[in-house]
Amino acid sequence: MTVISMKHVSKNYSRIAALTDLTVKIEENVITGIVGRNGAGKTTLLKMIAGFQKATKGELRVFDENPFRSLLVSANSIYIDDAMSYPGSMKLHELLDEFNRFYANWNEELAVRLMEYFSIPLNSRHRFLSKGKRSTFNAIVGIAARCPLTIFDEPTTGMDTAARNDFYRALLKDYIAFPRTILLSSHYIDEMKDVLEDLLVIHRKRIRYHGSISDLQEAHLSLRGSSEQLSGSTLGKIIVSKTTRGLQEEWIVENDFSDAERAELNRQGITNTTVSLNDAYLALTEQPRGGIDDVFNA
Amino acid sequence: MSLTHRTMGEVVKQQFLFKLRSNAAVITVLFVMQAVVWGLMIGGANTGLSMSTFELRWNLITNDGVVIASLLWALVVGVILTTPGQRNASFTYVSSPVTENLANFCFFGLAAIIAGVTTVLSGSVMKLVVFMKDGNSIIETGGLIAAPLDFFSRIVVMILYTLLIMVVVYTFMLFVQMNRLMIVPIVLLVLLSTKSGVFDLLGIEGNMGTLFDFFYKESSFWLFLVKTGVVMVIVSILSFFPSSRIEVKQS
Amino acid sequence: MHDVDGEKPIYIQIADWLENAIIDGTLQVDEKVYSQYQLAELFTINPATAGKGLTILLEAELVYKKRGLGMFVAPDAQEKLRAKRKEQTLLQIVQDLLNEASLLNIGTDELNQIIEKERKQRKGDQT
Repeated sequence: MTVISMKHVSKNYSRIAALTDLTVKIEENVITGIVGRNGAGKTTLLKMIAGFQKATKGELRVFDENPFRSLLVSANSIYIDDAMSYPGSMKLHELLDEFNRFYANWNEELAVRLMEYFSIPLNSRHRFLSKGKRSTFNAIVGIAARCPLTIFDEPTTGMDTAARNDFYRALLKDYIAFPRTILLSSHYIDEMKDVLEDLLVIHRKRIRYHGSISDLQEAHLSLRGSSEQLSGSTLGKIIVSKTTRGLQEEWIVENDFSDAERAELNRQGITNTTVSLNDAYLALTEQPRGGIDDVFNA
Repeated sequence: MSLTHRTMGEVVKQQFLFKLRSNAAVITVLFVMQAVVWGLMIGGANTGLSMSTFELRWNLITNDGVVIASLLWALVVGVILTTPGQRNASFTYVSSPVTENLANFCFFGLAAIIAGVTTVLSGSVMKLVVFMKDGNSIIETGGLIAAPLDFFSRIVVMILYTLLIMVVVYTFMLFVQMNRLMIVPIVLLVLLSTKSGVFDLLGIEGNMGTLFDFFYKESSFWLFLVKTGVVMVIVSILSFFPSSRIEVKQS
Repeated sequence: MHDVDGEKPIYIQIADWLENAIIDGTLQVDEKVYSQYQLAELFTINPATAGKGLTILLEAELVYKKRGLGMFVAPDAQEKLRAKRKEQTLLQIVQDLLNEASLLNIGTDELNQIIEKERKQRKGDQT
């Protein structure tokens, strides 16, 4: 079943385009990572899906409804970011009680056990928590709500490495027990890549890639060798980036090499490996490694 | 995971209770304001008139201060419930623009009842205190026992005034949030609908404004009820227009 | 998982891990293989990714499916894997070896000597 579908969706903020012509479908119970550079439009996209903001053009459907003004979407989705609005007068356990009243699948016991594990006192207030603890509390809310559509916008901001790992593991375990559609955005693709099935790359206000993470990774190849070797064997191939590493060059190219061609590369002494997911993503969003060097070489 | 279907009524009720719990301080502020003003009033300013032959001294004690405090409070409540913080908090939980608006009206209703009852009661208590202190006092209006109908109608009028202020301010603020330029036509409309406003603009000294007269000068209780009722319904319906257009979490 | 080979897609790393378990006998013939959910929990990875890893083994007929029960190690899985490793992994290592040798200007004879010496040393260790 399709949970989110977009046809030519655009969003403007007083005539300035934030997102342009998005067409995409996100299926039920898939964990999708949303990545893009700062200002690419990730947050705008997630807020539109949550029904907080209205699409300027095109057709956006969540659970077959326009999410803006939809009670159905609100009751079946939760949006977690690092600027959650809670009434300042309430203590954390009171906030949890409210979630319990509003969300049908909310698991209070799980929320309380996670609070204990992360040593967040129930009697504290959200604004008195440290930045990392605040994010952790929000993340706990997102997991315990068990909403059919769970949206995390940069959930790990301020968390330390241990808390991040714990968060992704807790999310995954609860997802395995209670599958749901999850959207996760982060600047750091590496920290979340393991739990993702699909990736949605937003670049320059448009969708640059949507599909499985392994397909993206396998769409590129990293070649290492001398400059002459590499230029000789990449005729007709699309080169995404070139980096000098000491005496060797590393080129990332689009992978349309056959097995025979790759064996030939090996024979010529050119190391060829699949790129890391992060490198594939950087290549897509025109952030070639070493690009910053050009600034200084001008 | 199967979808949860919530009825509008359920969510409005939950949001209303949520607003009561999270805004309990707002009600407390009313009581504190009333108590402070009440204390100041009962202390009373001594007004005296003295001539060489005799001295006349009187205390004018009125409940007007508490009434004004409550109405000012109503104005603030109307503004507070339109702040983005309030709206965002509602949408942290389950909400739609319609349920949000309806829950706010429920909150206004209860707040107005509390404000109306306490304001009128504070006047009664004031009379009692003055009577016990001085003995010889002239009481202008009747109390619950002397004139029960008058007493209740004063409560109803106070509730309606409070509610009217909240709803009007709330709707005004929503329009302004939707588009800042909305201040201009709304202010113009208000100015034009008051005689004095137009005259002031033209530099001519006028009488009391018609909009003010419309409510304040109405001597028939029932007509007042109908007038405020109709205006409130119209303004409330208008408020749905901006409230369904304002986006949540615009940061 | 990243420490095995950070560059390889996760589902291939999962398949490699399972293949190694079959080759070294951790998973015996007709023994039940981890389900995709068990693998997902074990390595904190998406169940779909784990499923993709299992599919590689299924398509290579290294495992067989019993409806409703899960996947089990095929009788000839070990032999198949040995043959495959000979063809692919070993060949890759030999290619790398020859690349390194040509870089160091080491001839075939010298290379053979090194291999022979290393082999003798290992035999010596064992006995």
